[in-house]
Amino acid sequence: MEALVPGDGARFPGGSGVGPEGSLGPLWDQMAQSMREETVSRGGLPEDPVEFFLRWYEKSSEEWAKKADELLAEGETVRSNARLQEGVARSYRELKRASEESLKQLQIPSRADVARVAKLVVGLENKLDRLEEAFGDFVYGGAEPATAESVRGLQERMDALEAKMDRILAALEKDEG
Amino acid sequence: MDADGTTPPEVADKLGKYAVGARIVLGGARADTGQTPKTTVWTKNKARLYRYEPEQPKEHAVPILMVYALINKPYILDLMPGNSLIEHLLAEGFDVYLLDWGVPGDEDEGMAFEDYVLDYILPATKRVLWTSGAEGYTLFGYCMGGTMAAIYASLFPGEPLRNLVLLTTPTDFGPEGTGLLGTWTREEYLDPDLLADAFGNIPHEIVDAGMQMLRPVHNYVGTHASMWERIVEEKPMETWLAMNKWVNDGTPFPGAAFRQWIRDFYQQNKLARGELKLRGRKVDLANITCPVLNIAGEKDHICTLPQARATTDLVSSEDKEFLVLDAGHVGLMTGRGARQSLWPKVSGWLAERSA
Repeated sequence: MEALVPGDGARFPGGSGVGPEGSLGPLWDQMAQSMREETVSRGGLPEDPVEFFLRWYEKSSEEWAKKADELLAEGETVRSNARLQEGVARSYRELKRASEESLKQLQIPSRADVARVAKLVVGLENKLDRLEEAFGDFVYGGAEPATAESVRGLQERMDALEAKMDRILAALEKDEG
Repeated sequence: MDADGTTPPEVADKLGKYAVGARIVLGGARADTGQTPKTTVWTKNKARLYRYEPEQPKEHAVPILMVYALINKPYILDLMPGNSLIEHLLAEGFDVYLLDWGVPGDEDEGMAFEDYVLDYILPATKRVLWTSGAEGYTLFGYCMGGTMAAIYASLFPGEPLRNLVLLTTPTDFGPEGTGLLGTWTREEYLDPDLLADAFGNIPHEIVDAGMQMLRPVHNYVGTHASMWERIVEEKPMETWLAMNKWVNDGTPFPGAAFRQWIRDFYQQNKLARGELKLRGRKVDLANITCPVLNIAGEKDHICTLPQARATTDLVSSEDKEFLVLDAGHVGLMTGRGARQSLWPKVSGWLAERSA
């Protein structure tokens, strides 16, 4: 049981305490030391692993969080992550392309084919939506229906316009004559 | 085990608690979320516009339309009975609507912000007015939904938009204010086209991992420490389960919107610079003149304070308020803190402007 107590005899990886700047070694050491002190002060390891975990978290989470933030913001970490992400994306893209090609050869519809059909359905839905919206605008938007009276009014205005144009034409013809 | 073959009660109790924790860790958090009664008043593609059914008579003339992020499920706004912003607003006499984006399929990978703003939010606002019979509405946006709400408000700034409420909403993506997310999304580290070409819609696991890695110790270890503590001390688990379920229950990020979010917002900061265009329409936040309540979380790592604060500086509204609460991105919305500070603030502010 004693060997499980983190301390000088049970160093964590990289736990020389003099690790290169930015390495986790000193932090492991610091955590191990603090856990050892905590364990000794309480008269031994807790019997309950959950209690041990909670004590560990309470004692060391702030330091770990700080260290993690620093690591994640470091250029090298971000570059490594970006390379990994790029590699995964390229591999996935190739795998997808090859799968599509294989399914095409076997004349089996692929996800892309299904998506193309679904897109047509969505397009059709959009057309219906536009009709519904135009109708809604008409009903709720204060638009007035074209009544016989309003059509008659327009007809009268057109008659008046025609009469004006006739008079203009007649005047022009008179001038030319 | 005792000599008589029975397990001592304290050991049985402990084993029972381990079993509860193990079930959650292995099977995921389960909770009945989004239980406030609602009816669907409009649908379009995967989207649904819900109207929540009030128990109280309507006291305010201006209905609220809620819009949330494309990458989340909407039940964060209606987490569970007794812990729901929507339930609170209904109890305060508001008519509440929510635009649920649904889960995009492969056929939606071409959906971009212009589609969501012009073809979804715009018609949804009309439906809200038609259904409620009101002459104006409040637009309420959460996180990326707030960014879309702000874009919408800048494109359609006059009546009938009466109020704009933004919660943890980023609008300025300048490199000095975006924190770790800003670093990771820099052009030299992230090519959105490559990811969108590969995946179509970006799987929610990738998006979630990115969000959780902003605070890995807290999100991956702390959340389980909190769970075990609750189990050991026999504290109520419902809120933890509901929150944990929501955090891990994202939706895919539609490919075209993802490309825009990374390129136009994070990498080029077009919104704050006034260079963003949707279908040829220039988005200028200075066009916004309605009352604006802008709320941010002091400990928010996803939408940092400078990202949220910028909106208040950019809009032209005379009646505007920037409120900072002592909470993180998700904690701001739920729990005792939200009940005591956020919810009454939102309902009180709106009540004064919803006659």
